Amino acid sequence: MTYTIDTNKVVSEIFNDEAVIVNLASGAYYSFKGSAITIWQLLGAGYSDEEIIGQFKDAESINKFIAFLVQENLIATSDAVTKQTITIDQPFTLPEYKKYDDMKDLLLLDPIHEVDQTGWPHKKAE
Amino acid sequence: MKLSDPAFFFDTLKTLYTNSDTRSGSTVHVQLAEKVLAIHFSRPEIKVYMLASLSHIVVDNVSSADITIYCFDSPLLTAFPWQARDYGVQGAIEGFNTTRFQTAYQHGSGAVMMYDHDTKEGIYWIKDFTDIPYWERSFPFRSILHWWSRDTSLILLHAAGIGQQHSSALLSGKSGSGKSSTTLSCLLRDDLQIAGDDYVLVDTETSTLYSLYNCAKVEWDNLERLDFLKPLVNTNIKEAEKAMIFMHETCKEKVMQKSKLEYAFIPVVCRANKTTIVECTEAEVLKSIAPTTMFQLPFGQTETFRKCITLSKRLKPYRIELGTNATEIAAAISEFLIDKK
Repeated sequence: MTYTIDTNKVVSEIFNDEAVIVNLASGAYYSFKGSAITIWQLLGAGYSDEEIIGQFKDAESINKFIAFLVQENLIATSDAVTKQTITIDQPFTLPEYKKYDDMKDLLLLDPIHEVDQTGWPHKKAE
Repeated sequence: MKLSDPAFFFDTLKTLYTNSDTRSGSTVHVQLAEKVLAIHFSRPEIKVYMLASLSHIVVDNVSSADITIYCFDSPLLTAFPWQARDYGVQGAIEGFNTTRFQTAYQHGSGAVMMYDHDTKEGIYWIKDFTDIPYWERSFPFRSILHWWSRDTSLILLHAAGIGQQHSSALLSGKSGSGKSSTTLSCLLRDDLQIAGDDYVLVDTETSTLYSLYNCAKVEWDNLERLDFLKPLVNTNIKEAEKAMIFMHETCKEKVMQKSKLEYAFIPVVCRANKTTIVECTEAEVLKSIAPTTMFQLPFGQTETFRKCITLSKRLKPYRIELGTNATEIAAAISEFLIDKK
Protein backbone atom coordinates (compact mmCIF):
# COMPACT_ATOMS: atom_id res chain seq x y z
CA MET A 1 0.00 0.00 0.00
CA THR A 2 1.20 3.52 -0.75
CA TYR A 3 0.47 6.72 1.11
CA THR A 4 0.35 10.48 0.55
CA ILE A 5 1.22 13.41 2.72
CA ASP A 6 -1.26 16.25 2.31
CA THR A 7 1.07 19.24 2.38
CA ASN A 8 -1.89 21.56 2.92
CA LYS A 9 -2.40 19.92 6.29
CA VAL A 10 1.05 18.67 7.25
CA VAL A 11 4.32 20.58 7.06
CA SER A 12 7.74 19.19 7.86
CA GLU A 13 11.42 19.88 7.84
CA ILE A 14 14.24 17.36 7.92
CA PHE A 15 17.48 18.22 9.66
CA ASN A 16 20.57 16.00 9.89
CA ASP A 17 19.41 13.93 12.84
CA GLU A 18 15.79 14.91 13.39
CA ALA A 19 12.66 15.67 11.43
CA VAL A 20 10.04 18.10 12.74
CA ILE A 21 6.49 17.53 11.52
CA VAL A 22 3.46 19.74 12.26
CA ASN A 23 -0.18 18.77 11.78
CA LEU A 24 -1.83 22.09 10.92
CA ALA A 25 -5.32 20.82 11.67
CA SER A 26 -4.71 19.38 15.12
CA GLY A 27 -1.85 21.58 16.28
CA ALA A 28 0.16 18.50 17.25
CA TYR A 29 3.80 18.40 16.28
CA TYR A 30 6.26 15.56 16.16
CA SER A 31 9.93 14.73 16.36
CA PHE A 32 11.20 11.82 14.26
CA LYS A 33 14.64 10.33 14.74
CA GLY A 34 16.49 7.22 13.61
CA SER A 35 14.97 5.46 10.61
CA ALA A 36 11.67 7.23 11.23
CA ILE A 37 13.17 10.05 9.16
CA THR A 38 13.99 7.79 6.22
CA ILE A 39 10.64 6.01 6.37
CA TRP A 40 8.87 9.38 6.37
CA GLN A 41 10.87 10.43 3.31
CA LEU A 42 10.18 7.13 1.52
CA LEU A 43 6.44 7.30 2.21
CA GLY A 44 6.35 10.86 0.94
CA ALA A 45 8.18 9.79 -2.20
CA GLY A 46 5.57 7.15 -2.96
CA TYR A 47 7.24 3.96 -1.68
CA SER A 48 4.83 1.29 -0.45
CA ASP A 49 4.99 -0.20 3.04
CA GLU A 50 6.00 -3.53 1.45
CA GLU A 51 8.93 -1.87 -0.31
CA ILE A 52 10.08 -0.20 2.89
CA ILE A 53 9.83 -3.41 4.89
CA GLY A 54 11.66 -5.20 2.07
CA GLN A 55 14.45 -2.69 2.35
CA PHE A 56 14.76 -2.60 6.13
CA LYS A 57 13.36 -6.04 7.14
CA ASP A 58 12.03 -4.92 10.53
CA ALA A 59 8.32 -5.33 9.73
CA GLU A 60 7.12 -4.93 13.29
CA SER A 61 8.64 -1.53 14.00
CA ILE A 62 7.88 -0.21 10.51
CA ASN A 63 4.24 -1.30 10.59
CA LYS A 64 3.87 0.17 14.05
CA PHE A 65 5.32 3.49 12.90
CA ILE A 66 3.15 3.64 9.78
CA ALA A 67 0.06 2.85 11.87
CA PHE A 68 1.01 5.75 14.11
CA LEU A 69 1.32 8.08 11.11
CA VAL A 70 -2.10 7.03 9.83
CA GLN A 71 -3.67 7.41 13.28
CA GLU A 72 -2.24 10.91 13.59
CA ASN A 73 -3.53 11.85 10.11
CA LEU A 74 -0.03 12.62 8.93
CA ILE A 75 -0.43 10.26 5.97
CA ALA A 76 -3.38 8.78 4.11
CA THR A 77 -3.63 5.73 1.90
CA SER A 78 -3.20 6.38 -1.79
CA ASP A 79 -3.68 4.66 -5.13
CA ALA A 80 -0.70 6.46 -6.64
CA VAL A 81 1.77 4.22 -8.45
CA THR A 82 4.44 6.75 -9.33
CA LYS A 83 7.30 7.29 -7.02
CA GLN A 84 10.40 9.38 -6.73
CA THR A 85 13.52 7.26 -6.27
CA ILE A 86 15.41 7.87 -3.05
CA THR A 87 18.89 6.55 -2.33
CA ILE A 88 19.07 5.07 1.14
CA ASP A 89 22.52 5.40 2.61
CA GLN A 90 21.77 5.07 6.30
CA PRO A 91 21.69 1.73 8.13
CA PHE A 92 18.38 0.87 9.78
CA THR A 93 17.85 2.02 13.34
CA LEU A 94 14.62 1.73 15.26
CA PRO A 95 12.18 4.49 14.35
CA GLU A 96 11.96 7.00 17.20
CA TYR A 97 8.98 9.31 17.26
CA LYS A 98 7.54 11.66 19.82
CA LYS A 99 4.30 13.62 19.79
CA TYR A 100 3.89 17.06 21.36
CA ASP A 101 0.33 18.24 21.88
CA ASP A 102 0.81 21.35 23.98
CA MET A 103 -0.75 23.48 21.20
CA LYS A 104 -3.83 21.30 20.94
CA ASP A 105 -5.86 23.06 23.61
CA LEU A 106 -5.36 26.36 21.85
CA LEU A 107 -6.98 25.03 18.69
CA LEU A 108 -9.70 22.94 20.25
CA LEU A 109 -11.21 25.66 22.38
CA ASP A 110 -14.82 26.13 21.45
CA PRO A 111 -14.77 29.84 20.69
CA ILE A 112 -18.35 30.44 21.73
CA HIS A 113 -18.62 28.39 24.87
CA GLU A 114 -15.17 27.90 26.27
CA VAL A 115 -13.84 31.38 26.83
CA ASP A 116 -14.36 33.49 29.90
CA GLN A 117 -14.42 37.25 30.12
CA THR A 118 -10.63 37.50 29.93
CA GLY A 119 -11.04 36.31 26.35
CA TRP A 120 -9.24 33.99 24.03
CA PRO A 121 -6.93 32.13 24.38
CA HIS A 122 -7.62 31.62 28.05
CA LYS A 123 -9.53 28.49 28.88
CA LYS A 124 -12.69 28.85 30.86
CA ALA A 125 -12.26 27.83 34.47
CA GLU A 126 -13.92 24.54 35.38
CA MET B 1 -21.52 44.30 -3.18
CA LYS B 2 -23.40 42.72 -0.34
CA LEU B 3 -23.04 42.69 3.40
CA SER B 4 -21.39 39.27 3.45
CA ASP B 5 -18.64 40.51 1.14
CA PRO B 6 -15.47 41.19 3.19
CA ALA B 7 -14.68 44.24 1.01
CA PHE B 8 -18.11 45.69 1.78
CA PHE B 9 -17.75 44.98 5.48
CA PHE B 10 -14.28 46.54 5.51
CA ASP B 11 -15.69 49.70 3.90
CA THR B 12 -18.56 49.68 6.37
CA LEU B 13 -16.14 49.66 9.28
CA LYS B 14 -13.96 52.32 7.70
CA THR B 15 -16.98 54.56 7.12
CA LEU B 16 -18.02 54.00 10.71
CA TYR B 17 -14.59 55.19 11.80
CA THR B 18 -14.72 58.24 9.54
CA ASN B 19 -18.20 59.23 10.68
CA SER B 20 -17.62 58.53 14.32
CA ASP B 21 -19.04 61.36 16.43
CA THR B 22 -16.32 60.87 18.96
CA ARG B 23 -13.53 61.21 16.38
CA SER B 24 -11.31 63.85 17.85
CA GLY B 25 -8.34 61.66 18.47
CA SER B 26 -4.98 61.67 16.88
CA THR B 27 -2.65 59.88 14.58
CA VAL B 28 0.54 58.32 15.82
CA HIS B 29 3.40 56.98 13.75
CA VAL B 30 5.52 54.10 14.97
CA GLN B 31 8.64 52.49 13.58
CA LEU B 32 7.81 48.98 12.46
CA ALA B 33 11.16 47.37 11.63
CA GLU B 34 12.32 49.55 8.70
CA LYS B 35 8.76 50.65 7.88
CA VAL B 36 6.36 53.19 9.36
CA LEU B 37 2.95 52.36 10.77
CA ALA B 38 0.30 55.07 11.14
CA ILE B 39 -2.32 54.41 13.79
CA HIS B 40 -5.43 56.57 13.72
CA PHE B 41 -7.14 56.51 17.09
CA SER B 42 -10.70 57.80 17.22
CA ARG B 43 -10.38 59.05 20.78
CA PRO B 44 -7.48 60.12 22.99
CA GLU B 45 -8.56 57.65 25.68
CA ILE B 46 -8.10 54.72 23.32
CA LYS B 47 -4.72 56.07 22.26
CA VAL B 48 -3.55 56.23 25.86
CA TYR B 49 -4.90 52.74 26.54
CA MET B 50 -3.41 51.06 23.49
CA LEU B 51 -0.17 52.91 22.93
CA ALA B 52 1.81 52.21 26.11
CA SER B 53 3.43 49.07 24.75
CA LEU B 54 4.36 50.81 21.48
CA SER B 55 5.49 54.13 22.96
CA HIS B 56 9.21 53.36 22.57
CA ILE B 57 8.93 53.18 18.79
CA VAL B 58 6.82 56.28 18.25
CA VAL B 59 8.37 58.53 15.60
CA ASP B 60 7.68 62.20 14.92
CA ASN B 61 7.72 64.32 11.79
CA VAL B 62 6.61 61.56 9.48
CA SER B 63 4.55 62.44 6.43
CA SER B 64 3.72 59.03 5.03
CA ALA B 65 3.25 55.50 6.24
CA ASP B 66 3.67 52.00 4.84
CA ILE B 67 0.77 50.54 6.79
CA THR B 68 -2.25 52.14 8.43
CA ILE B 69 -4.47 50.99 11.28
CA TYR B 70 -7.76 52.59 12.26
CA CYS B 71 -8.52 51.89 15.91
CA PHE B 72 -11.89 52.95 17.27
CA ASP B 73 -14.86 52.05 19.37
CA SER B 74 -18.43 52.53 18.30
CA PRO B 75 -21.77 51.16 19.46
CA LEU B 76 -23.28 51.71 16.01
CA LEU B 77 -22.26 48.33 14.66
CA THR B 78 -24.95 46.17 16.20
CA ALA B 79 -24.82 43.02 14.09
CA PHE B 80 -22.20 41.09 12.18
CA PRO B 81 -22.71 39.78 8.65
CA TRP B 82 -21.81 36.25 9.73
CA GLN B 83 -23.32 33.49 11.80
CA ALA B 84 -22.12 31.90 15.05
CA ARG B 85 -21.16 28.78 13.08
CA ASP B 86 -18.66 30.83 11.04
CA TYR B 87 -16.28 31.32 13.96
CA GLY B 88 -13.21 29.16 13.61
CA VAL B 89 -10.06 28.66 15.57
CA GLN B 90 -8.15 31.73 16.66
CA GLY B 91 -11.25 33.80 15.98
CA ALA B 92 -10.98 33.45 12.19
CA ILE B 93 -14.30 34.06 10.45
CA GLU B 94 -15.32 31.72 7.66
CA GLY B 95 -16.05 33.59 4.43
CA PHE B 96 -14.25 36.75 5.51
CA ASN B 97 -10.74 35.57 4.84
CA THR B 98 -9.67 35.80 1.23
CA THR B 99 -6.42 36.41 -0.58
CA ARG B 100 -7.07 40.12 -0.02
CA PHE B 101 -8.80 40.35 3.36
CA GLN B 102 -8.18 38.81 6.77
CA THR B 103 -10.77 38.97 9.50
CA ALA B 104 -10.81 37.70 13.07
CA TYR B 105 -13.04 38.14 16.08
CA GLN B 106 -11.53 38.50 19.51
CA HIS B 107 -13.56 36.33 21.83
CA GLY B 108 -14.10 37.80 25.23
CA SER B 109 -13.74 41.44 24.19
CA GLY B 110 -15.87 41.28 21.05
CA ALA B 111 -13.31 43.19 19.00
CA VAL B 112 -13.14 42.69 15.23
CA MET B 113 -9.83 42.96 13.40
CA MET B 114 -9.52 43.22 9.64
CA TYR B 115 -6.63 43.70 7.26
CA ASP B 116 -6.61 44.55 3.57
CA HIS B 117 -3.43 43.15 1.95
CA ASP B 118 -3.91 45.37 -1.12
CA THR B 119 -4.13 48.74 0.61
CA LYS B 120 -2.15 47.73 3.72
CA GLU B 121 -4.92 49.07 5.94
CA GLY B 122 -6.06 47.43 9.14
CA ILE B 123 -9.06 48.04 11.35
CA TYR B 124 -9.46 47.34 15.05
CA TRP B 125 -13.07 47.89 16.09
CA ILE B 126 -14.61 47.30 19.48
CA LYS B 127 -18.01 48.33 20.79
CA ASP B 128 -16.55 50.01 23.89
CA PHE B 129 -12.82 50.42 24.38
CA THR B 130 -13.14 49.64 28.10
CA ASP B 131 -13.83 46.05 26.99
CA ILE B 132 -10.34 45.76 25.51
CA PRO B 133 -8.66 43.04 27.59
CA TYR B 134 -5.53 43.84 29.57
CA TRP B 135 -3.42 41.44 27.52
CA GLU B 136 -4.23 43.31 24.32
CA ARG B 137 -2.43 46.28 25.88
CA SER B 138 0.73 44.19 26.10
CA PHE B 139 0.70 43.30 22.40
CA PRO B 140 -1.73 45.65 20.63
CA PHE B 141 -2.77 44.86 17.07
CA ARG B 142 -0.71 41.66 16.97
CA SER B 143 -3.09 39.87 14.57
CA ILE B 144 -3.10 42.81 12.13
CA LEU B 145 0.68 43.12 12.29
CA HIS B 146 1.01 39.37 11.77
CA TRP B 147 -1.14 39.63 8.62
CA TRP B 148 0.94 42.55 7.38
CA SER B 149 4.18 40.66 8.00
CA ARG B 150 2.95 37.80 5.81
CA ASP B 151 3.71 39.95 2.75
CA THR B 152 7.24 40.71 3.92
CA SER B 153 10.38 38.87 5.01
CA LEU B 154 9.47 39.72 8.61
CA ILE B 155 7.91 37.42 11.12
CA LEU B 156 6.03 38.38 14.26
CA LEU B 157 7.63 35.74 16.41
CA HIS B 158 6.24 34.43 19.68
CA ALA B 159 9.54 34.65 21.54
CA ALA B 160 11.50 37.04 23.70
CA GLY B 161 14.47 39.00 22.41
CA ILE B 162 17.43 39.90 24.60
CA GLY B 163 21.02 40.93 24.12
CA GLN B 164 23.47 43.70 23.58
CA GLN B 165 23.73 46.28 20.83
CA HIS B 166 26.19 44.20 18.81
CA SER B 167 24.46 40.87 19.19
CA SER B 168 21.21 39.41 20.40
CA ALA B 169 19.36 36.19 21.05
CA LEU B 170 15.86 34.85 20.87
CA LEU B 171 14.50 33.20 23.98
CA SER B 172 11.80 30.73 23.12
CA GLY B 173 10.02 28.09 25.05
CA LYS B 174 6.77 26.80 26.40
CA SER B 175 4.91 28.34 29.27
CA GLY B 176 6.80 27.49 32.46
CA SER B 177 10.10 27.04 30.66
CA GLY B 178 11.64 30.03 32.41
CA LYS B 179 11.46 32.29 29.36
CA SER B 180 9.90 35.26 31.16
CA SER B 181 12.12 35.02 34.23
CA THR B 182 15.22 34.75 32.06
CA THR B 183 14.16 37.74 29.98
CA LEU B 184 13.44 39.85 33.03
CA SER B 185 16.73 38.87 34.66
CA CYS B 186 18.36 41.00 31.94
CA LEU B 187 17.07 44.06 33.81
CA LEU B 188 19.69 43.29 36.44
CA ARG B 189 22.64 43.86 34.10
CA ASP B 190 23.63 47.23 32.68
CA ASP B 191 25.04 45.60 29.56
CA LEU B 192 21.89 43.65 28.67
CA GLN B 193 18.72 44.92 27.06
CA ILE B 194 15.33 43.51 26.16
CA ALA B 195 13.67 43.81 22.74
CA GLY B 196 10.48 42.13 23.90
CA ASP B 197 9.33 39.49 26.37
CA ASP B 198 6.58 37.83 24.35
CA TYR B 199 6.61 38.93 20.70
CA VAL B 200 9.39 40.38 18.57
CA LEU B 201 9.73 41.24 14.90
CA VAL B 202 12.51 39.45 13.07
CA ASP B 203 13.65 39.94 9.50
CA THR B 204 14.36 36.41 8.33
CA GLU B 205 16.46 37.62 5.39
CA THR B 206 18.80 39.87 7.34
CA SER B 207 18.55 38.20 10.78
CA THR B 208 17.69 41.53 12.35
CA LEU B 209 15.79 41.65 15.62
CA TYR B 210 13.35 44.54 16.08
CA SER B 211 11.53 45.52 19.21
CA LEU B 212 7.78 45.87 18.85
CA TYR B 213 6.28 45.82 22.34
CA ASN B 214 8.00 47.20 25.43
CA CYS B 215 5.62 45.56 27.89
CA ALA B 216 6.98 42.72 29.99
CA LYS B 217 4.72 40.48 32.00
CA VAL B 218 5.38 38.40 35.06
CA GLU B 219 3.20 36.10 37.13
CA TRP B 220 2.14 37.83 40.33
CA ASP B 221 3.50 34.87 42.31
CA ASN B 222 6.90 35.26 40.69
CA LEU B 223 7.15 38.86 41.88
CA GLU B 224 8.08 37.59 45.32
CA ARG B 225 11.05 35.74 43.87
CA LEU B 226 11.94 38.53 41.43
CA ASP B 227 11.42 41.35 43.90
CA PHE B 228 13.65 43.72 41.92
CA LEU B 229 10.68 44.02 39.54
CA LYS B 230 8.22 45.32 42.12
CA PRO B 231 9.04 49.03 41.68
CA LEU B 232 8.56 48.68 37.91
CA VAL B 233 5.10 47.10 37.92
CA ASN B 234 2.17 49.16 36.67
CA THR B 235 -0.11 48.91 39.68
CA ASN B 236 -3.03 50.50 37.84
CA ILE B 237 -3.73 47.27 35.98
CA LYS B 238 -4.87 45.16 38.88
CA GLU B 239 -7.30 42.99 36.95
CA ALA B 240 -4.48 41.46 34.94
CA GLU B 241 -3.57 37.84 35.47
CA LYS B 242 0.05 38.92 35.24
CA ALA B 243 1.86 41.98 36.53
CA MET B 244 2.69 44.31 33.65
CA ILE B 245 5.84 46.37 33.27
CA PHE B 246 5.93 49.03 30.57
CA MET B 247 9.69 49.26 30.26
CA HIS B 248 9.68 52.46 28.22
CA GLU B 249 8.00 54.21 31.17
CA THR B 250 10.06 52.74 33.98
CA CYS B 251 13.44 51.68 32.61
CA LYS B 252 13.73 53.23 29.15
CA GLU B 253 17.41 52.40 28.79
CA LYS B 254 16.69 48.69 29.01
CA VAL B 255 14.67 48.57 25.78
CA MET B 256 16.66 47.42 22.77
CA GLN B 257 15.19 48.79 19.53
CA LYS B 258 17.17 46.79 17.01
CA SER B 259 20.05 44.35 17.00
CA LYS B 260 21.80 41.73 14.93
CA LEU B 261 20.19 38.43 15.81
CA GLU B 262 22.72 35.64 16.14
CA TYR B 263 21.57 33.13 18.74
CA ALA B 264 18.55 31.13 19.77
CA PHE B 265 18.37 30.24 23.46
CA ILE B 266 15.99 27.58 24.68
CA PRO B 267 15.61 27.98 28.44
CA VAL B 268 15.28 24.87 30.57
CA VAL B 269 14.52 25.06 34.27
CA CYS B 270 17.15 22.94 36.00
CA ARG B 271 17.24 24.46 39.48
CA ALA B 272 20.99 23.94 39.39
CA ASN B 273 23.42 26.08 41.34
CA LYS B 274 24.89 27.48 38.18
CA THR B 275 23.43 28.61 34.86
CA THR B 276 25.11 27.02 31.86
CA ILE B 277 24.70 27.63 28.16
CA VAL B 278 25.28 24.60 25.97
CA GLU B 279 24.90 23.90 22.27
CA CYS B 280 21.73 22.24 21.04
CA THR B 281 20.27 21.56 17.60
CA GLU B 282 18.46 23.51 14.90
CA ALA B 283 15.54 21.10 15.23
CA GLU B 284 15.17 22.01 18.91
CA VAL B 285 15.02 25.66 17.93
CA LEU B 286 12.37 25.00 15.30
CA LYS B 287 10.25 23.06 17.80
CA SER B 288 10.52 25.90 20.30
CA ILE B 289 9.63 28.78 17.95
CA ALA B 290 7.40 27.41 15.20
CA PRO B 291 4.31 25.77 16.77
CA THR B 292 3.78 28.45 19.38
CA THR B 293 3.97 31.19 16.74
CA MET B 294 1.90 29.30 14.17
CA PHE B 295 -0.99 28.52 16.48
CA GLN B 296 -1.19 31.76 18.48
CA LEU B 297 -1.92 33.88 15.44
CA PRO B 298 -4.69 33.43 12.88
CA PHE B 299 -3.72 32.31 9.38
CA GLY B 300 -0.42 31.95 7.54
CA GLN B 301 0.71 28.83 9.42
CA THR B 302 2.62 27.38 6.47
CA GLU B 303 4.46 30.65 5.75
CA THR B 304 5.21 31.04 9.43
CA PHE B 305 6.67 27.52 9.50
CA ARG B 306 8.88 28.27 6.49
CA LYS B 307 10.13 31.51 8.05
CA CYS B 308 10.85 29.68 11.31
CA ILE B 309 12.87 27.07 9.39
CA THR B 310 14.95 29.83 7.81
CA LEU B 311 15.55 31.37 11.22
CA SER B 312 16.39 28.10 12.93
CA LYS B 313 19.06 27.46 10.30
CA ARG B 314 20.50 30.98 10.52
CA LEU B 315 20.77 31.22 14.29
CA LYS B 316 23.32 29.45 16.46
CA PRO B 317 21.30 27.13 18.69
CA TYR B 318 21.86 26.93 22.45
CA ARG B 319 20.06 25.57 25.46
CA ILE B 320 20.28 27.72 28.57
CA GLU B 321 20.10 25.49 31.63
CA LEU B 322 18.83 27.82 34.29
CA GLY B 323 20.06 28.11 37.80
CA THR B 324 17.87 29.62 40.46
CA ASN B 325 19.52 33.00 40.88
CA ALA B 326 18.34 35.75 38.49
CA THR B 327 21.54 37.79 38.86
CA GLU B 328 23.60 34.75 38.00
CA ILE B 329 21.41 33.94 34.97
CA ALA B 330 21.92 37.46 33.63
CA ALA B 331 25.67 37.21 34.26
CA ALA B 332 25.86 33.94 32.33
CA ILE B 333 24.08 35.50 29.34
CA SER B 334 26.29 38.58 29.44
CA GLU B 335 29.48 36.53 29.64
CA PHE B 336 28.32 34.32 26.80
CA LEU B 337 27.62 37.25 24.48
CA ILE B 338 30.91 38.95 25.34
CA ASP B 339 32.86 35.71 24.84
CA LYS B 340 31.33 35.24 21.41
CA LYS B 341 31.96 38.82 20.36
